[in-house]
Amino acid sequence: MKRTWLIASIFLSVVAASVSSATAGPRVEIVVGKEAPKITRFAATEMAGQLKTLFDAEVSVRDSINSDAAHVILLGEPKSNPELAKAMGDAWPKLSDQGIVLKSVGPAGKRRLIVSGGSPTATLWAAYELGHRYGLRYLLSGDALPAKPAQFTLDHFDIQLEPTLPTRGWQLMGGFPFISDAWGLDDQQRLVRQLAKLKFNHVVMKLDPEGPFFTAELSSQKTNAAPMFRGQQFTVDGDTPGRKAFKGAKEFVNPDFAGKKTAAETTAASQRFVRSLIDTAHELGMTVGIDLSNQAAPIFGGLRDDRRELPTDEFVQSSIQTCVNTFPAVDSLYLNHSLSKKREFLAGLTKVPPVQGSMRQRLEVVFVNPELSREAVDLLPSDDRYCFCALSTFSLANVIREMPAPKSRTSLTLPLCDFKVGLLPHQRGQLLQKLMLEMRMSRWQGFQVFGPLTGDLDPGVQFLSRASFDAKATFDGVCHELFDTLCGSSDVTVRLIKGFNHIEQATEKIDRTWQHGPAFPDANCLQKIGPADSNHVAASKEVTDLYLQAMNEMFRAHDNCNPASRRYIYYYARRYEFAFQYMNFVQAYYAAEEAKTKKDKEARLEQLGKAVEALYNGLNSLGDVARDPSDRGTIAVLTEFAYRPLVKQLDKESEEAEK
Amino acid sequence: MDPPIFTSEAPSMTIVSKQPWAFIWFLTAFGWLSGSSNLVQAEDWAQFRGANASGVALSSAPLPTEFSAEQNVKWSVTLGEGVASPVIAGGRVYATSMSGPNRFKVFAFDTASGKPLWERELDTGKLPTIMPPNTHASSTPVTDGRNVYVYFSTLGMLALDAADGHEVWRCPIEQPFYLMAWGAASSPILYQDLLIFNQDDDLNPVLYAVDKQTGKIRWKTPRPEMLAGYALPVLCTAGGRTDVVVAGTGKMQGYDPATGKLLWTCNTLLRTIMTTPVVQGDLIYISVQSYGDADRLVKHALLEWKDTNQDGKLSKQEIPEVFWEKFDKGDANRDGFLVDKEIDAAFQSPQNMAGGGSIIQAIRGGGLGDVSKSHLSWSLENKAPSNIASPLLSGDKLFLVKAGGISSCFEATNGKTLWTQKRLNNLGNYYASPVAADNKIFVLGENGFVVVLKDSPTLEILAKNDMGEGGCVATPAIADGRLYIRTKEKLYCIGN
Repeated sequence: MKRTWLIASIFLSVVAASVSSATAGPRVEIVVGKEAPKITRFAATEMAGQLKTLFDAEVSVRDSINSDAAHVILLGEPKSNPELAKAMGDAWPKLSDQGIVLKSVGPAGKRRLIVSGGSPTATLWAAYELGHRYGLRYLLSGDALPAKPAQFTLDHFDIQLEPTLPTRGWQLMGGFPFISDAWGLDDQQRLVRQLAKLKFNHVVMKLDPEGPFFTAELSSQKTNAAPMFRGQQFTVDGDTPGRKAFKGAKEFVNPDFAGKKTAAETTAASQRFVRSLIDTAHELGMTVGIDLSNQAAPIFGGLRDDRRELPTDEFVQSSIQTCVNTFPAVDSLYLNHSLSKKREFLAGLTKVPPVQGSMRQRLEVVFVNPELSREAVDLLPSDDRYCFCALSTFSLANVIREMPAPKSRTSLTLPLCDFKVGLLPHQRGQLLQKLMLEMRMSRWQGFQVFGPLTGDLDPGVQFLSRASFDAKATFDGVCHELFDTLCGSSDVTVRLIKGFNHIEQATEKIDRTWQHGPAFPDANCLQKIGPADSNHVAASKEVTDLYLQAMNEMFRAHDNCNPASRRYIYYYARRYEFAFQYMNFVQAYYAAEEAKTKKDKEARLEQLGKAVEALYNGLNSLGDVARDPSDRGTIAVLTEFAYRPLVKQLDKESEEAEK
Repeated sequence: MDPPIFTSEAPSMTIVSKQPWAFIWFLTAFGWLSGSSNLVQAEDWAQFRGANASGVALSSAPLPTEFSAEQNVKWSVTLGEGVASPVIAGGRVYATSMSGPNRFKVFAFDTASGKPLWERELDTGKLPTIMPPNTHASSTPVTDGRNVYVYFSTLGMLALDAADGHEVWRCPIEQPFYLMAWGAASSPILYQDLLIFNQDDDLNPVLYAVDKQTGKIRWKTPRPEMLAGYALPVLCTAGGRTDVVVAGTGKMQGYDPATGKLLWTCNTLLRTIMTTPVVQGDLIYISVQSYGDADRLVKHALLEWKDTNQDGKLSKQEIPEVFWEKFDKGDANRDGFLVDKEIDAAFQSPQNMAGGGSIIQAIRGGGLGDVSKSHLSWSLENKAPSNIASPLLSGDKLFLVKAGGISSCFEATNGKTLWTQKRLNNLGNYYASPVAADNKIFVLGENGFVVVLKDSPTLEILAKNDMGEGGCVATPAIADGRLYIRTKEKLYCIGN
């Protein structure tokens, strides 16, 4: 049986065994019904675990109500849980398959709490919603307890939620070392589980056709020995700033691919990896797509700029065929619209062996359009499903507003991180608030989050999660809901919001000023910092100051935060310190370039030295608090593409000066 | 050839550095070491930075130039998290760590083999917030060979039997509190039969003398003019008198070790003092970097960091409750807020409004009263000092290192620059203070590299040694031809 269910079964046994043991908390029965689907039983174990953690509750999961039970939660849907149907009677609300309900019923002393959804998946969300109402907060890195535990009660619940945006997706992978490509399976699965708690219902894996995920029969264009990160290596040595984050590893790699010596080994490992992720997402009621449109990655700036040639139709077709053969459990395929027309996709599918025939019936194709434009929308056939990307995030709200009503099943990629801001901290909370409003008004189907640097994303993702079920949710309000609970003070949240707003201003300034960005994650990182003209120099000072102010706000918040959550706030403070130091590096780099223009060698060397030191300090700051592979990937990429070339340059010029 | 001037019980431990300054210094140290029933020998390293916190080993036994976490390692042990230095006496090395969230551990190992001799674990109770890279296991023990004396913020001072670690006595010391949550990091020293311990915190700074036999407080002298600081007391003998000298906010001060009476004050220092002075003859050298300029009083830092709603004033809710009495004292108009000068009045003594800056000074000991003009031998305003790493006085050279691996060196007699602001080719922070032995200077970067320099008037880098990514915050110890490096988690014994 799949791992989640195994864990669930073990947990269930533990919970059942604990019935007789003495605990300080309330005795709670979770009744799921004899016919409960697996996902509802999983929801029950999740709920039991949360109640135990929050209230030290003594929880048992049962098929029917025990007559002397003090506290009963009826979990599931009416058709599989007769006790729930009976308790609700005629009062059952009209629910969509994503709708959820939390409702207290019955007379005092015999109170029951209905926790239900319009489908088994929605029931799981309802269970997680109850945890949220009790003060649990679902962060991307794990669950966080409230500073002040809520009081246990099954009374006074009367909540019904329906999604305002039915597609809530998350993009995994993408071919870059700071994206989840570098995350091991355990980390990825943990992330997907957190997303399920936040009521995301779709995962898209952007699998680089030139990466290790498919076998070599793909096409004649497939010549590499299945390298990760397109063959780019990221070594870790003594001089790697922030090296402690790598815990002794000599190379930054996805741990599940480490030690795989041949292409066949790597491919086998990567396919196991993807299949396991698909299984995990399915167990949580999520659908899974595979995005093969990553051929467009070089357009956005891949690791190597020399890969700008577009793939042939033949390559795209064979990609489709191989993908479907390799991962038959996938629910949808994403193809770049400009490169792969629908007929070509269908032609690709006809070559799939007959065993895949049934899959063809349910497999959806989503066309990815890399450029959101009015023209594109007008030209597209209306019977397909689309996902739009955008090159400039900050123009999204205006573009959406000016667009005609989108096709019936169209979602938007929400880049919470983008390549212009690159590896620096991002925030987009206030923008997201506008976008959500515009998307709802323009009847978009939903969104897919592109968010590789998860360290920044909790506030934004929390907002997307809450606002997807609450049209009145605001970014500030959601921040208060999140951080007041964790930190125990709304004053702390005020500082945090100010800090996030500084980051959002920095994000916007970078987006509007640089052509590529000051921390562009590729081999030409240094060149892409751009010329030391007055525009760049002034903007770099402004951005430096914004990151500094944000860092200060985090430290202020840290000091007044509930001790249990300080570590979490400290992460932000040090992450913004990294950004502040990084921008000091950019400023020194500009000053060095200016000195070069003036042929002032002494000043040039001094500024290069400052640049090296600031970059080193920045990466060290991040290394001190690095908590996921994206943080480590950021250090690895900037070490390889910025720090080492800069040190080399300094050494070379110092040597020349000594001569 | 200089004759051996001290014959220890171990025949091999007889040689003192050939450098004349060391001879002079050693005479001073000898008195300190032999004042009571000490079993400490010249080759030992019994306290933070060795004899009188100098950072200079008395032995000329050779030390390796090149080493790493694998190379030239005699032995290594895993301790757990901590930043205190190891101390060595009588063939034992003592170290500490946090063995759990509320568990503090003291270890003793055999110096020759690294074999664990004993360990003692203590329940710390609830611990305050602490700002990294400091940890709760930050106070360096001191030993006389019979007992090892250990301070911990929530436990006070403890004497543990050096032979088996059993608790001999425990002396409660008022727990320190820090406005900025820097955390405790003060360490004790021994002088004759006294354990001297200075605790400059933001609440109630006090200099203590504890009877090392009984654990009773012999005297304690309040230091109400001080803000939080971490300078270790040092001993200075001048004019036939040995003083306990403590650097603190704005002032270097000398105390009578017998009574704790304040003898002299030199009002030339800066606001925040984290470095420990070094002594040669009757001169006391200190290097200090305190953030900001001369006008930057404590108010600036508090408004920057503690005014969490940034309304330009401090409310009681913005500072820890233990400081509310001070708050009330400063709240002149009783409006419930500290504004402008009220903030300084609450936390910084009106008689000691020292600001920020960056200085190096040599102050002559042995004075009485205000010696600010009479005993300041020389003073430099210079960007060389670190705010954390203490200076190293080796021969006539005062060596400094600061963040970025930027080193400077000055002539001790007159402050003349030998070299300034030169890079050691090892970036990052420098929390450990440099130490010297075998004509070498060992400089530990927080990134885990140890840069080895030739002990000479010009900068000469001999090696850059990697002790691993765990990083080095603790100042190393040197004893009997061995270098003891405490990384974040481990203790290494390095030797040829």
